[in-house]
Amino acid sequence: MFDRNDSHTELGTIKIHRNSIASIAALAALEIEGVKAIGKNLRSVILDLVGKKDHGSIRVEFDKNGEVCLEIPLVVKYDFSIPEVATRVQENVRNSLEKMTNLSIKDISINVQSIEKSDKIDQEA
Amino acid sequence: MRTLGVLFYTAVLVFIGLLMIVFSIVLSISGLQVQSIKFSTDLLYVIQASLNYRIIIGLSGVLLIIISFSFMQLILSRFQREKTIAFHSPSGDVTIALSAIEDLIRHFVLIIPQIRELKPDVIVNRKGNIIVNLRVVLKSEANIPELTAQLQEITKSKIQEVLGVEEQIVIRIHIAKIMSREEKEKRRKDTDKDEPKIPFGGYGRV
Repeated sequence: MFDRNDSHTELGTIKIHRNSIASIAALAALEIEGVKAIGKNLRSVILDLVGKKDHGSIRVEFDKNGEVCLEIPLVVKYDFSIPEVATRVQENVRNSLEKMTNLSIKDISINVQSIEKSDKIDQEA
Repeated sequence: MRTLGVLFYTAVLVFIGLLMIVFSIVLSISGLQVQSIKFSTDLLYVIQASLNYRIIIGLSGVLLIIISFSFMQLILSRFQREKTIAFHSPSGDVTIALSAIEDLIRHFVLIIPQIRELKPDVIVNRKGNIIVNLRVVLKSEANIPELTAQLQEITKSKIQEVLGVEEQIVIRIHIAKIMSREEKEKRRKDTDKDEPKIPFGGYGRV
C-alpha cells in the first residue's frame, strides 16, 4: 500500500495511515512555543468550510525503504527566531513519531507560510 | 499578477465545465422537446437523442473542472516554491515564504509612530541577496533622513534576527507620500460624515 505503513507482528499486521502520522506531526508541532498554527492549503481550507478537521496540508510520503518524509507548513508567531522554532519543531515531530509509531523518519521539511502576532501581543496592543 | 491570471483562467474553465454539466442535465429533462426550445442544429438533436452523448458531455465537464483545479494548485505551488528562502538543517529543509517576511516587516514597523502606511515587497536575487523594497507614507512631522536610516536599520536587524540569515540584505525605501495635518483632518472629517447619526440622539430622560 502506498498511503499506509505496514508492520507485521505475530498476531497480524499493523497499518498506520498517513492521516494519523499527519495528526501526530501537527500536535507535536503545535506544542512548540512560537508556532501559531499549521499552515493551510486548498484542500484543508475546503474541508474547514465543510466543518471537517483535517491535517491534509501536512504532506506525508513513504520512500522505497519505508522511511517517512514529512512536509509541514507553519504559521510562526511574531518575535520568534524562525530557524530556532523550525529546528525545535523538527526535533519534537521526530521524537513524537518515533515514540508513537516506531517509524524511521528520513526528512522533516518545514515551510513557513506566514508570520502572525500571538493573541497575547494583540491584547496588550 | 500571475496568480490573478491563473485564477482567471481557472474561473473561465470552471464556468465552461459548469455550463456543460447544466447543458447535459437540461437536455435530459423529458419535458423539454427539441421543437419547444427551437434547437435547429443537428448536433443538438443528436446529443439530446442519445443518453451516451449527454453522459459524455456531463463527465467531460466534471473532468474539466477537476483538471483546472489541479492545474491551479500545481501552478500556484510552483510560484510559492520559487518565492521562498531555504535553509538546510540535519532534520530536513526549512523554507520561508517571502510573503511571511513581508508580514514580519508590517508587524514590527508599527512601533515607528511617524509611519502612516507601509507596503513591503521582498525579493531574492540570483546571488541569494535579500532585497526589501519599502513603499512608505509618512506623517508630516517626520524627519526623513533620520527616519529612513532608522527604518533601514530596524528592518535589517529584525530580518537577520528572526531569519538567522547571513546573506546581504538590501533595503530600498520609497517615500510615496507625506501626509499633511490638513489631509489628516480632512480624512477624519470624511470618516465622521460617513458614520450615520441616530436621529434625536443625545436626548436622555431626566
